[in-house]
Amino acid sequence: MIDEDSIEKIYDTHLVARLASYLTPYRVLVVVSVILLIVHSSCAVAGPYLTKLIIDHYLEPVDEIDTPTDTWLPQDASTGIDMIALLYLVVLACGFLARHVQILVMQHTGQQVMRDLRVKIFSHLHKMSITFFDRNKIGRLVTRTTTDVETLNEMFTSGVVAIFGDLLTLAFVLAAMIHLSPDLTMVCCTVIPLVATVSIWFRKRVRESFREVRSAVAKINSFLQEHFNGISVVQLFGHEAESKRKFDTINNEHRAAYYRAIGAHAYFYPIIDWLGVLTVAVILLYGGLQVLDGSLTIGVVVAFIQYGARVFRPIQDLSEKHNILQAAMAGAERIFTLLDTPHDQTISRGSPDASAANRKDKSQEATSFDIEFRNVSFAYTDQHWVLRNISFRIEAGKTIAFVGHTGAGKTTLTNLLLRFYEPQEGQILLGGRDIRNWSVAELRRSFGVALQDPCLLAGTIRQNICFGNTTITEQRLNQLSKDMNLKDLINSLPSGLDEPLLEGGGSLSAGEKQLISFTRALAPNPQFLILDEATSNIDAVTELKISEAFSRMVVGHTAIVIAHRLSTIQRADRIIVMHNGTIQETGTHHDLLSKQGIYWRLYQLQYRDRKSSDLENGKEH
Amino acid sequence: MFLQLQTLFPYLVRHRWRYVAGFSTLILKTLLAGTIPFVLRFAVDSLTKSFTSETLWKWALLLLTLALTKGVFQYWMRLLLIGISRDIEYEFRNDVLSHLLCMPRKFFRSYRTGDLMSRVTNDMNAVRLMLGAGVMHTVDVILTFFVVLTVMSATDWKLTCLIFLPTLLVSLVVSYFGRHIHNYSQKVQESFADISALTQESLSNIRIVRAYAREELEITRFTELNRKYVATNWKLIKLWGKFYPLLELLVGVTYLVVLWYGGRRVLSGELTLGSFVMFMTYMMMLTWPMIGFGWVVNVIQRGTASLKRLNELLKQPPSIADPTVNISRSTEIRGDLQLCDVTIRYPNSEQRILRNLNLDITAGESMAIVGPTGGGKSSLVELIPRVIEPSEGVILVDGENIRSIPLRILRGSIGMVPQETLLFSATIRENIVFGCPGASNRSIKDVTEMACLNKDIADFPNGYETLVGERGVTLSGGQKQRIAIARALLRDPRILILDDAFSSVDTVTEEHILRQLKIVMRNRTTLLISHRTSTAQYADRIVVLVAGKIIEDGTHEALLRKQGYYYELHQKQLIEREIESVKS
Repeated sequence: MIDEDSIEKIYDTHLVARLASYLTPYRVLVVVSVILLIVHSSCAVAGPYLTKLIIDHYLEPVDEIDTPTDTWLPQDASTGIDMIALLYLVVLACGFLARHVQILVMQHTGQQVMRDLRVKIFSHLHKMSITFFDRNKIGRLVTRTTTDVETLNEMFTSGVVAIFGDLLTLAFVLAAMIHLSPDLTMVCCTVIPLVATVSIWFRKRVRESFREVRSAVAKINSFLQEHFNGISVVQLFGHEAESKRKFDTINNEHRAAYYRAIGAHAYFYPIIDWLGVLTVAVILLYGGLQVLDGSLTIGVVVAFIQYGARVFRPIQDLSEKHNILQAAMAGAERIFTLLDTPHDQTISRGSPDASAANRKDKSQEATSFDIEFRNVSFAYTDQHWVLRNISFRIEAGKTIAFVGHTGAGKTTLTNLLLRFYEPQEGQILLGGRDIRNWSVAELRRSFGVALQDPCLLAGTIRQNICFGNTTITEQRLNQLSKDMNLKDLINSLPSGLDEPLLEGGGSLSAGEKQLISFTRALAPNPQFLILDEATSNIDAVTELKISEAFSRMVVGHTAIVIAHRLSTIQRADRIIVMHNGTIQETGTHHDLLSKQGIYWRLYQLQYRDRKSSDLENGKEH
Repeated sequence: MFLQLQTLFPYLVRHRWRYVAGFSTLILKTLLAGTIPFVLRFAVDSLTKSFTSETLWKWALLLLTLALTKGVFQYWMRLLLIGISRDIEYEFRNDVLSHLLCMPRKFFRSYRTGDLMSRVTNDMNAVRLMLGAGVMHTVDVILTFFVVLTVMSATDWKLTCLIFLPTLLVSLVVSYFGRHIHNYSQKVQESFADISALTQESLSNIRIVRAYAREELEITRFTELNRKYVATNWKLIKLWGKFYPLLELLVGVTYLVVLWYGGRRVLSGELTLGSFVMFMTYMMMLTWPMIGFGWVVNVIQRGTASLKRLNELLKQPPSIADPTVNISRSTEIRGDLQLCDVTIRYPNSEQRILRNLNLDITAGESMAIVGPTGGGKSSLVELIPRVIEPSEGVILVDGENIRSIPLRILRGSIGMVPQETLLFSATIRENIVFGCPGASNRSIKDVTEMACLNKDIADFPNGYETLVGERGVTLSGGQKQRIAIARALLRDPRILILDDAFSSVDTVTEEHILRQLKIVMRNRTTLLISHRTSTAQYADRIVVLVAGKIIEDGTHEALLRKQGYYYELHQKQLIEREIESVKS
């Protein structure tokens, strides 16, 4: 069933046309490649034909049936043989060059096209909305960008080209054969259906057994992974013997699947070889009889014996290439489906007028923007309200701490502010202007963001701090690392700021990662800061460094902090306590404590133990 | 190389008769294949003289019969020789797995899982290729060369010598390019992996990328990696671009030599036209052996390298092994545990996980272990089933050194629920009976009830036969943990070890399970690691483990009175529960 589907896909002209459109920029190269392919295929005809000439002219001369093309040949036999040999050498050299250049040109084109396609998919992905990433598994998207494109590459460079080459060779060889003797060609062609049938049967058998092999290999892999990871459970529960027995079954399945493939191979090669000999025997018999009545030369018979083998090869190949085409077409369809998924609307919606307008505003009063949420309600999925009718206002230059349990909706607030999602109800205003009227890039650029997960990428510390912003000077970096208490860390690393980090920050402690992520947020000196504190445990020394850095960074910025540390909360101008998507309490630390509400309880639970030590630390500095 | 191959001898010896049969058919097939061009020679020669249609029929039928007989031998050759390699692969892989299953955890920590998997699959495959196609083609190639060269040089040794040169060159070219192409392919794969890694990284950090409007930069980084990939690939392509045409050229040159020199020899009457055609046919027949020779060299090289990696695994003995002397007489374990002066060190470090720990647990006692993360709680309980061994000190079980008790008996009397719940992709029943395959339905039902699983199981589509894991239902953390508990209980253990076994189970269910456990484990030993004092208070005795030392030891009440670490923890958790109740 699956196979039928894919066969249809091969003949899906839209898909083919769309794929071909990627070749358009390289059409000159494609044409060159095709010409070279024709040259190379025609070279395959030369050998047997030249053999025929040598035999018929010099070795067993037959004068009567001289064709006009052969008049250029010298009369002297040994000069003639030298000449023909030289000619063959030239043909071989041409074939070599044509093939060499053709491979380079075709592969070069393939690589360029695939690179273009990969970059296109990747760029496309970066224009998708955040919701898209909530819905699609990252692993799948990675496969689209890498493996699927690679399958296409295989199709371009070996599939299509090889099929074309095979067909050309077949055509040239048949043409040469017909030229030499049309009726002997007819006789030879009777073997072709047999070869084709056997090849198709063989491919089918091999494909089936390889499907079984793949499934057995997958089973072996998952067995190994599970048992290597769970080795202690296996050993603790004395399950070794049972595991061995189970593995034996899978292993045996794997062997049985291959046995079927071996069987197919064992039949295929002898049969194909025998069919080859059959062709020779038929040529010998039929051609011999014609030699007997003088209508055919020995040279033609010998040439046919050699041509026979050259007809076989392309027919066998063609049945194999079919599979490559199928896989590639399936890949192409998946890729195009992805490319057809529309972009994030929010990005394109921000009109240039709006951004121009707000640039004007910005120049007038750069830091005087308030942030205001007006009756905002939001649900990630229908009717599961994460925020319910939230309204608050943050005055420019103030620091606001959001506190509350996990799932209270704190992070969602920042997601809306950055326009990762759009609220279903209500409005978010920045400087009195609805954020939907801002250009998304402009909007996001005015925020410095540190997420709960520090999101360090593979690269140096410098790259992780600058994060692509080229305007950050060395001097600013120096100042930043001093302010943000990063100096100790940087000095302790062999290459300092240029120390390469592994993906996710590898060797650094949680506290150090957070410091870097804070520094990154502060580096471009944005108007607003959004800081989502990490909840992980951090040792006392680093904790102190972070809280110092924090108090330095909020100066002169409007800051929204999703706070987990008492020290951060105490430094906030105002605290907003969230619970189940609503605002429960607002006020300063002291106000809220005296209220003895949720904040007071939270404080009791999370911060009381730390209070004394925090205060002590505070005094020291 | 010979030393590496030693591992394979037992397998080769086991299949010696099939090898003999396989090589016999191989020899017969090659000899017969060699006669075909020879017969063709006489057939063509007869065309140059006066002949009848009967002669033609005779030659044609002879050719077909020879080819048919050859085909039969060729069929058996493949079936036997390639079949053996699959059998050896199967046996060898089973043996390697058996070996690995007995390795200690330390071993599995020193190799990445992916690496081990690749050895058991990819390396095994390379060894198999060497033993099957590798061996078969080596013998085939050598024999074919021998037969063909003998016949050819008997006919015309000068021409044979001249042909031999480009033939040798083909083998060298294949071997040279094969090696380099293999190396570059690996580089290309690494470069490709970089692209995958970047895509993965960039997409999983999509929020921060958006927040910093960094999309353009990500695309630049991606483009740059793609440029590198294309550049690396280009080197490989250049190799392929030379390799294929060169092969064609060289094979063509051997043909050319026959055409030119052979032609002149026919002209001078030293060679018949039939022999001339025979030479050409032999050249066609030699094309594969020429290429095959170079290929075979690489297959054997790669196979030996892979075998070396497998030998490295097989060389390592299971470090926690059964005692060889002094095997304890008793077959039943009571459950008294004694830790005397036990210290565990981190490997290659002075830092200690447990420091001179002394602990006495009598059979029938239940003991809770509490303390901060990294205090050594898990290491302590892992000493009992000998998952790890102490660096110093002795552990006594029922007064006997733990090392003198056969592992089967020791582990057979322990039921353990490890901190990380590991279930296998099998049915729920199979996961529960993991430790005692012969368990009755009655006892399975009992333990599922004890672990509060019966309701969950009733809700699953196929009850006990529901598949878990990738291809089955997705279980919640709590369900997984409760299956792990049932799995441990089904063993009817003398010693039950629960390493933070309730972390994903809600408190009501936890209390229910603990109450039942108290009854079942009345006369047995229970070790219980927990972060919650509400769990710990179910134990007869509680020890507090901080930085590898026991700092408090006593009953729940006694420790509360002490007003130390345990008391603080308890107070904090009381408030937490209060808030919980406010919330709901």
